[in-house]
Amino acid sequence: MKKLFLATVAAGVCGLIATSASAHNVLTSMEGYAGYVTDFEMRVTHGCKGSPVKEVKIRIPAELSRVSVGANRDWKVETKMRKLDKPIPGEGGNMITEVIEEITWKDPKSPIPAGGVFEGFKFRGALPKEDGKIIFFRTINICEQGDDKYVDMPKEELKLNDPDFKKKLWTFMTATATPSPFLITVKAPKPQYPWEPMEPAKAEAPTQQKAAAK
Amino acid sequence: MARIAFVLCALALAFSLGVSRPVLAHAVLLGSTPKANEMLQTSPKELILNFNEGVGPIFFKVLDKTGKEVGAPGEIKIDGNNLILPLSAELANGTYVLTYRVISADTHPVGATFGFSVGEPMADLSQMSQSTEPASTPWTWAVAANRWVLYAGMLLAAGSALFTLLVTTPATVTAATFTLGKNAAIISAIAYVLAVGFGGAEMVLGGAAALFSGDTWARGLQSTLTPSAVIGIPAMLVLIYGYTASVEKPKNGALTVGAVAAVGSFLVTGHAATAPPVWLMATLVAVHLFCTAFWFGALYPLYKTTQAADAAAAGAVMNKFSVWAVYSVALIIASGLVISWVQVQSPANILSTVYGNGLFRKVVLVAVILALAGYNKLVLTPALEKGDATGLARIRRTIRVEFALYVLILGAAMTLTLTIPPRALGDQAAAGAAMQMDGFKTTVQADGYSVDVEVTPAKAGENMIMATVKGKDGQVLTLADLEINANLAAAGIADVMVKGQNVGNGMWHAVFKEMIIPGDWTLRVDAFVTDFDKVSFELTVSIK
Repeated sequence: MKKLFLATVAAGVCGLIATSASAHNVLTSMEGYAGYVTDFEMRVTHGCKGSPVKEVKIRIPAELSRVSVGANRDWKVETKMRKLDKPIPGEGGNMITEVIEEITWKDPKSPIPAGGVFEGFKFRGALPKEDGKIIFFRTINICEQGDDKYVDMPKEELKLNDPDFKKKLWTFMTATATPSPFLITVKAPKPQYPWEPMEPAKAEAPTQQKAAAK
Repeated sequence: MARIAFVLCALALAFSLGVSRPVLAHAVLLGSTPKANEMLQTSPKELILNFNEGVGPIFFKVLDKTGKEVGAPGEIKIDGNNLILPLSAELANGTYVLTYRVISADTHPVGATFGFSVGEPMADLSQMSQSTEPASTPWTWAVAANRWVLYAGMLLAAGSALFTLLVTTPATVTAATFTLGKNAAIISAIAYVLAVGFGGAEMVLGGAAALFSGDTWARGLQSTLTPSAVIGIPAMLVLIYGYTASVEKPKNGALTVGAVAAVGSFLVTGHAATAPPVWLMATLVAVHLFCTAFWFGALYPLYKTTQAADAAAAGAVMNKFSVWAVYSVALIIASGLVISWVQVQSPANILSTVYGNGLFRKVVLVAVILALAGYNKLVLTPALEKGDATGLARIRRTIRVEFALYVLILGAAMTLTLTIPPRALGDQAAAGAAMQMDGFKTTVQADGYSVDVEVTPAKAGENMIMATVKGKDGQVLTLADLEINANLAAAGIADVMVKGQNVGNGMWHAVFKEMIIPGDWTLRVDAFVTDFDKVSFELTVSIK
């Protein structure tokens, strides 16, 4: 029943996005399987009031773990790291002491034209295990003139099981010109392949443990 | 001789670069938290005064209407150009006065008093004094007189050395010059010490006994008078040592070092040497002082020469002096012009400001002295060289007049050092104008943050908005960015967005040209605490 509800909501959200928010920075896929290592693409769909985009920044949400950035030969990719309070074991036995906090794509071969085309920026990471979570990917476009900061968050926390969820989400997406792009986690039909090597819960990022504990 | 001149120049430059510090003269209050006559909603945790330069606090306190100190103030903190007074006790609702007195880089004390209120409108404070300049005390005059002695003494002590190094005079004249230089150096050394004590007494607004209080000297020692004395007193001791040498075996090294250090001691304090660009101004002041010292120091030995030597010998000395004098006059005028330009900024200020007037007096006196010098060089010196003995008496007379003029010029120069130059007055006027402008002012809270917004003039047309965002702890935040959105729903005007300009000290400035329709405008101030973390404040401004 819950699954059906979530699917309905997710479908509704996609509908909303297709009609209204296509004019902003958005994630290409706005839903993802809880707990899955997922590929993301941040789509920049237009410039700042007619000015071409020359730099894009993303703040990686704290809920995401094991983040890496896709290669990009047209943009210079820079990452800003955040030191972990406690190192976590990574793949291959090494200890991870810092994680990606921000990604910046800058100095392009040519800037993204102000309108008519879009460009995607690829990165990946593991979603938290909890389904029905809304994760916000705050992004900033820096243009040849001015900037657009898609960093607005909902005034109150959005909950999927709220009967007014759709209405509130719509309000959030239309209240300002710069809502943060977001993604909703949905329950995975099965564990992500390969099943066996999946790390036990204790070996995962603290943020995920926190998410699972909720 | 040329080598000595070269060494002097190199040392002067080294001094001006090494000793001078990047400070402005005369502190001017640019802003404060709370502002004058501001009504605060809640008791402030601290009070902030923002100056145009780093200042040394003398006192800074909050008084209630009865004049009692309140707020359990902690120790005054200095943060760049800000003075911060933490308050550990809450101020009850009511009217308060903030009073302060600080010392600026040029050792001039500046103070003021203004009111603010907490939780209720301000009570009438018209009885309260609002002086921005401290009342002059007997010490103000003591400081001025001592400064005059110090100026004359230092220039004479250094100038006698410079003259002896550059111009050869008969042995008896040189001996007399040494004696004069030594006495001048002794008097100067005492004046350096007294400057610290007198300055301290002036700063604490002390009475006659203030000179015997440790606090007075402690205050004086905290000012730029101290580095000046720390360089000046050893310089005088070196000169005294140099002057004790016999005329046959002069200690040229000591005289050179002493003269250079003496000039250097004047570069660490005062308006001109501490005005931006510091490297240029300090160099110019150094050149100005060297040349002035040389000329001032030359008068006595030249006078003596006219008594001790025959006309032809005196003429030869005068001639040698006048070669150097031509260079030094050129340098005095050139450096003086540039210094004056920086300090006065506009020809109109010469007649309209006290500083300009003082400068004008000084320039007139210098012109007279130059005319006399020209007469000496072009008429009297050639006559002397031809052996015309009547010239000796005439030249003595012009030297006496020159000396008197020098004393007056020193007086004028000293007055200038005690007067605020138009350069700094400009800052003060700008700050005053900003404070007096009327408009709309409010404080809005959101998510534990607060923003102080000021809309000027809050009338239809172009409006200026100043915004300062404070964090959850009440401290002014350094934001990554600030944007202001304006809406006038009644007229269908939406989302007029202007990016703020960071004007320093956490203040952001934005100009809206679009507020041309009167009405209740809604402003949304988006403060970016980091690039990605935004706090939005909403407020309504009535545009008339």
